[in-house]
Amino acid sequence: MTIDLDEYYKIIRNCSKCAMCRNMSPWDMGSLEFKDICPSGTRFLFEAYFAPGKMEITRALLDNDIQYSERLEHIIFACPLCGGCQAQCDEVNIIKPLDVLQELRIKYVKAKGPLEAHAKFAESLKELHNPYNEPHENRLNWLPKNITFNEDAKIAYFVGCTSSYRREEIAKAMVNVLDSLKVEFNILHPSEWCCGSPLFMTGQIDAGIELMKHNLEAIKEKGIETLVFSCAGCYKTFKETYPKYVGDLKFNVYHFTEFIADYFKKNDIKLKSFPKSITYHDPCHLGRHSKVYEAPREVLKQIPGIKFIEMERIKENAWCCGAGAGVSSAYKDFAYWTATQRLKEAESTGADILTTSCPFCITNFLETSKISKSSLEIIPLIKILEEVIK
Amino acid sequence: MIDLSLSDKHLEVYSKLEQIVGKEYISDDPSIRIVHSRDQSPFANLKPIPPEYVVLPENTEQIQEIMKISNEYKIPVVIQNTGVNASGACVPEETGSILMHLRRLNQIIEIDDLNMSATIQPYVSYADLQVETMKKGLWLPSPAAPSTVGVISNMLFCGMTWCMVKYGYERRSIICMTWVTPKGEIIKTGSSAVGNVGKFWWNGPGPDLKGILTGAIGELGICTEMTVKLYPWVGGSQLKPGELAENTKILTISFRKGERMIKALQELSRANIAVALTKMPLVWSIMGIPKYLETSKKMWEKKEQIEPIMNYFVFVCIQGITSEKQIEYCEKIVRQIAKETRGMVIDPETMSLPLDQFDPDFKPEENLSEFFRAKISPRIMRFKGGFMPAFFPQEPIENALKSAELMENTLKDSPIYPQDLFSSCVVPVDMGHFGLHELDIFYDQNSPEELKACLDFAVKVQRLSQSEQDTWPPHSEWRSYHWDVVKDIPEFAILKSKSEKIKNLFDPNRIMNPGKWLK
Ligand SMILES: Cc1cc2nc3c(=O)[nH]c(=O)nc-3n(C[C@H](O)[C@H](O)[C@H](O)COP(=O)(O)OP(=O)(O)OC[C@H]3O[C@@H](n4cnc5c(N)ncnc54)[C@H](O)[C@@H]3O)c2cc1C
Repeated sequence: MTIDLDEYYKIIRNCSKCAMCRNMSPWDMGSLEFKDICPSGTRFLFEAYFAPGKMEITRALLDNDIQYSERLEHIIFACPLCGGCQAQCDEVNIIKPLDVLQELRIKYVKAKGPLEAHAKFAESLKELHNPYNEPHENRLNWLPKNITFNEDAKIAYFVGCTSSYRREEIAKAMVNVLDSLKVEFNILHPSEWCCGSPLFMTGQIDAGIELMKHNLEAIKEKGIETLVFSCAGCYKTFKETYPKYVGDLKFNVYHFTEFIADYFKKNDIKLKSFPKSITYHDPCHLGRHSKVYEAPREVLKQIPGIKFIEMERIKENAWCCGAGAGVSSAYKDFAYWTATQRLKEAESTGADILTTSCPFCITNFLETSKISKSSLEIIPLIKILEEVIK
Repeated sequence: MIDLSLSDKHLEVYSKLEQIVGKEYISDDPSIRIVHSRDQSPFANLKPIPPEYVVLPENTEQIQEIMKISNEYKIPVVIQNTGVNASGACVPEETGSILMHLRRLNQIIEIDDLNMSATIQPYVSYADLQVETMKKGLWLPSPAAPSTVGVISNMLFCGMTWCMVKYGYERRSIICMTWVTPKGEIIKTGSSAVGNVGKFWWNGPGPDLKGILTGAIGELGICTEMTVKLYPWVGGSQLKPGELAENTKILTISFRKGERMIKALQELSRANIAVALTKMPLVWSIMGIPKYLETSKKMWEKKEQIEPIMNYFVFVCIQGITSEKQIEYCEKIVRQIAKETRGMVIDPETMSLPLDQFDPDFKPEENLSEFFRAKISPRIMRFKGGFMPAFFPQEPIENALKSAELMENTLKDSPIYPQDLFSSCVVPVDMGHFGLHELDIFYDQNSPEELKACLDFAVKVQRLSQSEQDTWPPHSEWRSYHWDVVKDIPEFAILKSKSEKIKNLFDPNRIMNPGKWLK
């Protein structure tokens, strides 16, 4: 189950403010320039924006020492819930600041309602089952003509809203890759609705739970045993969030990087060369939230010709793209600022390409790179796979 | 309820401060202020007071301007740097204060590799400095506080490392300082005081001002820039987690008898071969080793099994600074001293045996970087939520056993955990001229009784050691409450009156970090 803030009060109060959560692990630090881990604190600077500050604020709210204010709203929501703080805290203490922050949002929404920007996508989700205000019947517009689904397949691809409506190239690449690998698969459409991630992450859990129930029912009806995702956010929602409410899922969930890494291990497959230097961004929902760090690297390392260069902040220490948890809709500038920091770090590796395995990160990087005039090519990992598997 | 009311002159002061730092860098919002009303210490937990304004100056000039405003309105200013003192040193003592956070002063201004020094701003941490200097074959040892604490604030506040046997207290590494006095004037110390001759000399011209300014817990002003010594580093350009630094070896020696361990500590210090040397307390070793809280707890419950090899347990770290052969030579000496003092040099395999049964995944090498760049020291907080060094004497090494006994006996009668968590470490300093002894006690921050008991215990043990042992109370982390502990000692009355005079000279309006050093 999720944590109950009142019950958790004593742990929150015991945060020692050792502040290890402000920076990446000191043992892994490579430079002064790329050592921050908390986008919210690093950007807004007041201690209140770092996790120890937010723990104190939670305590103060529970003790009725402070009331909700515009600033408090900003502190609670101008944070991509990347979990960088929790990854550091887990090494030294037991506070679980990310879990506390998620609950704090739920508490806030119960008291004050969602932020305007978040209420907007919630409305769209209610009516159209996606946060982008797009007609549900267009959800499959991206589908290449050559692809057919196997209605009896036990494997299904959960496309997700961002790949369906905003990053169609990812959805296309995903089905092309599965098709090239001769995987028999199905999709849930028209029963696929948003996974609910935007709602769960912005404190609107009741509406999130409704979407969850619908999706789980649809999966059961189709008799799906394995669900594969191209979106890190959907994957995390199924893998980590749903079980908090319904216990064990009765089917397997795989991010495509896990699925393909496993496929490569079991099958001898010849890949085309991709002679480029590449760096990889760990999406928070795949990395820190779901603990999938190796699969994308294994996949990349299988591709001949690739020169793989790591950034300084990787895996548990990765710097967030900045878009998640409702930041991109409510605080666009902040989302771009955070992505700019990551682009700078990626550029500093000397790589030609920045790749990642989450459509939401990709979107934020692409939008930001236009503004910051980044020299990097930003290519989804699944697109690279599509090219080398063809 | 915490008092968040505002003073009569609030708007006037706010607007003046805003003019100095800019709109984005000042706040009086309750949610910004409340965060600074408390830290994990019993002091601040029992008496939480929020500041009235939180400001984030960008540079020395802005800090000077803020001090002028605070003098004009007689408003206390509390300085916070990395804020990890964990003892209420950045929590206001009075309502209406300005909390000046130094986060924006975060630059390494220069690394002078030829003369082995670095000039830094306050928010630069040991970890920050090390990552850049190690690339150039230089370093400054980090304290056992998380290495993310500021170098400057640590040096001014406490400054103890595992490497004190060789490099002394961190303060010894201060070369020059730029200092804003409480009146807003600038003082430069060392060779930086005399124009552009360079930053290489710390003493004078005239009296060593640095000696006065450090240790006053921010009550005499704000250091905005410091030049520090760096030392040769041969461990590689970057730490590799899970691996010991290059050209480095750590030997652990177990003793059955305390007297022999003390002898070994003295001999090892005098031989001048160790980079780091310490008697590690049992609880710290256990807390530091396994990754998860549950494992540490299980181990603690079975501590009798582990204690025989862990109680008198000495870590010696050696490095081949001049050549690879140096390691071989140093190791020979360590082994020789261990033999003479009848200590057992434990190889890592043997050490992991008793610990393996609690955590099969236990890998001692995971923590090998801790001596150089501390990360896991806050694990000490996991047991109870709060910890406090109750006793912190600097004393001749041979006193360590007697003090340990004294402390243990006192702790046994104390209401805080007489049954567990006795923890004390001994770190030789300056080639063994003296040692640092630390006893930590643990409490739950949710329990007012435990918080109070902690304070009472700390005072009691200090008094006792004063009367029975003639041991110095802490001087590297002197806090205002210590004056109470020593109030019956005539020499301290004189010292206090002199300290008051210095304070009045620097800070006639008594606005700078009040209540931290003097009462
Ligand atoms: C688990 C743990 C282990 C620890 N172990 C050690 C240890 O081994 N060795 C050790 O030395 N310490 C240790 N400490 C104590 C403490 O964390 C450090 O000494 C730390 O460096 C002090 O806090 P800070 O640097 O974050 O400074 P802050 O907390 O920001 O400030 C400390 C004090 O200095 C004043 N100050 C800050 N900056 C300035 C400035 N620029 N000019 C003037 N005054 C200033 C502040 O007002 C405050 O009074 C430990 C703490 C913890 C939590």
